[in-house]
Amino acid sequence: MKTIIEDNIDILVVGAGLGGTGAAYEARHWGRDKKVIIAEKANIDRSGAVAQGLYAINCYMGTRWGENNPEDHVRYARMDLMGMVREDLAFDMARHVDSAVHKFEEWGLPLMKDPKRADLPADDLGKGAYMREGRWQIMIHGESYKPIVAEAAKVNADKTFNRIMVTHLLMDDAQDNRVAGAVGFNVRTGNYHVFKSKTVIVGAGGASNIFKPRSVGEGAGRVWYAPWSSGSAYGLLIEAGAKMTQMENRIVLARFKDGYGPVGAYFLHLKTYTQNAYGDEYESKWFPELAERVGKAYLDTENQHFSHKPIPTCLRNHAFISEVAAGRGPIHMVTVEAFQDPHLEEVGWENFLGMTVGQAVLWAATDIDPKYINPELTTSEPYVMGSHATGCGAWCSGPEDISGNIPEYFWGYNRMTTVNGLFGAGDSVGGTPHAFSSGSFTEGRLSAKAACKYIDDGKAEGINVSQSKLMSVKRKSSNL
Amino acid sequence: MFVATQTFAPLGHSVRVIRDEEKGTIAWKIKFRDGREKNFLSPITTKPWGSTIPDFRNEAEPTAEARNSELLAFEPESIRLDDGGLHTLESNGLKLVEGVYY
Repeated sequence: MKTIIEDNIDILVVGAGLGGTGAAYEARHWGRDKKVIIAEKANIDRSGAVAQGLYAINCYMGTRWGENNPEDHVRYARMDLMGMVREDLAFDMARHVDSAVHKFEEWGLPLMKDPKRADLPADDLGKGAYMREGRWQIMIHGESYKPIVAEAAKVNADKTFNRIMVTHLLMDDAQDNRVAGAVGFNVRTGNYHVFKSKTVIVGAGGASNIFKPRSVGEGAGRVWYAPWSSGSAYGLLIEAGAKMTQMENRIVLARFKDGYGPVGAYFLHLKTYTQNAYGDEYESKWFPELAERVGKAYLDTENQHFSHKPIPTCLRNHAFISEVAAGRGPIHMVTVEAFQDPHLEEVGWENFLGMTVGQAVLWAATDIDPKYINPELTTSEPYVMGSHATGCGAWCSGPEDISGNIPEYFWGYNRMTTVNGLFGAGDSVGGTPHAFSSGSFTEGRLSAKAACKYIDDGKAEGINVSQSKLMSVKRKSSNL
Repeated sequence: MFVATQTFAPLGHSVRVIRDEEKGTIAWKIKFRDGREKNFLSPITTKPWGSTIPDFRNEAEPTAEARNSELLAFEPESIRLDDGGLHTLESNGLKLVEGVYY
């Protein structure tokens, strides 16, 4: 086992999913002469939560068509999480996110267009408005979403180290609470890697497999979130002493049984719906009881429809679980109506083929054609993560123009954790649910700009890690 | 009949994929166990592979004004594709409230 040292790094990006790729790309824009290095556990072309593809971008405001303002998205996320959001961070992400999506389209990502919206004013991209799946979601042909976005990071980083699992962060000798790099090992060769860096942006993933997966038998190992998401987003930060938030929050999702196929496009675009074993709608039956428990602010059964407030995801899941517990399961998704329309059938299949192909394999293996058979749904095991409908992660500084007057929300550098020089993006930033792929990329960009400023302000001068400290970290990481 | 907990994906099916970066397409052929087939074709990119990704080392340096602003690369024009600026609390008539409130 060799030890390979990469020295004099300005910006080290740990984990190059959508958050990390955004960071490496943006770091080059603001740091032309800076040394930008990526350490990625898999291969950047197919890594992170978007590795297999993604058939929707779930965070897009559409401000150019006057569809939503950033504060609308803050209200939505706040409602869905029943109050648990950092409004400053959420607003900041939402006001920048459209620019990331427009760049993805420029780079070749095929965004679906809505023929019914062709009358909207033509612009640089020229071809009419995007196909909306829901108020915040747009539909894409995203099998190659990750390799397309990875190009932007690869072109702009000085070097991308693939197959490096970062296990620990390095801390500076001279100043307490200042990051100085990271260490890890190559998962193929076992070589030990030391990265000495002025700043570190943790774009690592949340945690799958903390709870026993519901998949069993030959399906064991199948999980909803990336199976390789080992919680580095939190393990690295907690050990470095970063203040965390909402770590007690868990996400549970309604998914197609056994294959974990997502339901978003089915509910929102295909207009499929759920029913219990008796063919009855069951969700609303549970709402009065739930409303009593959570209060009218989060579930107002009489006025929900008029107020256009979404019903918090956790309450809908609660209704699902309660119905099954009451003996009226299984719950099915009624697809046989929508799938008679050939266009909707195509959308329904491609949605899985380009994102979670195992679901299509399972249907082929069990002769389930959703055109004729309503597939079964289930709720997933819980996850700890911070970019879907949960906000686990580090307590980070907001942007100066929004959070600047509140010391608890601002300490100089956007998306910096409470550890100096240590930044977050995606799953590692707490209190920013509903970022999804585009929002995570945006958070990476925000971190990278702030990290460049941190270095330019002289905050990273004189960083040093003694040989004895390096040895002790090495002992720790070798004894895993 | 198969035992659902052990072999819930029995053999005899296939999902074949052909991904072509030159053509920018991906083709799927699904074969059910009972012999039925379905075919789907999707685009994977609209541009020659990697051709439109900027290398910032070849672009003009950002201005000091941009550095000190809240703007990211290609902003504000890439947000709304018009002359509009970045949304702020002020521009949207908002105030950030500290702490937890209901």
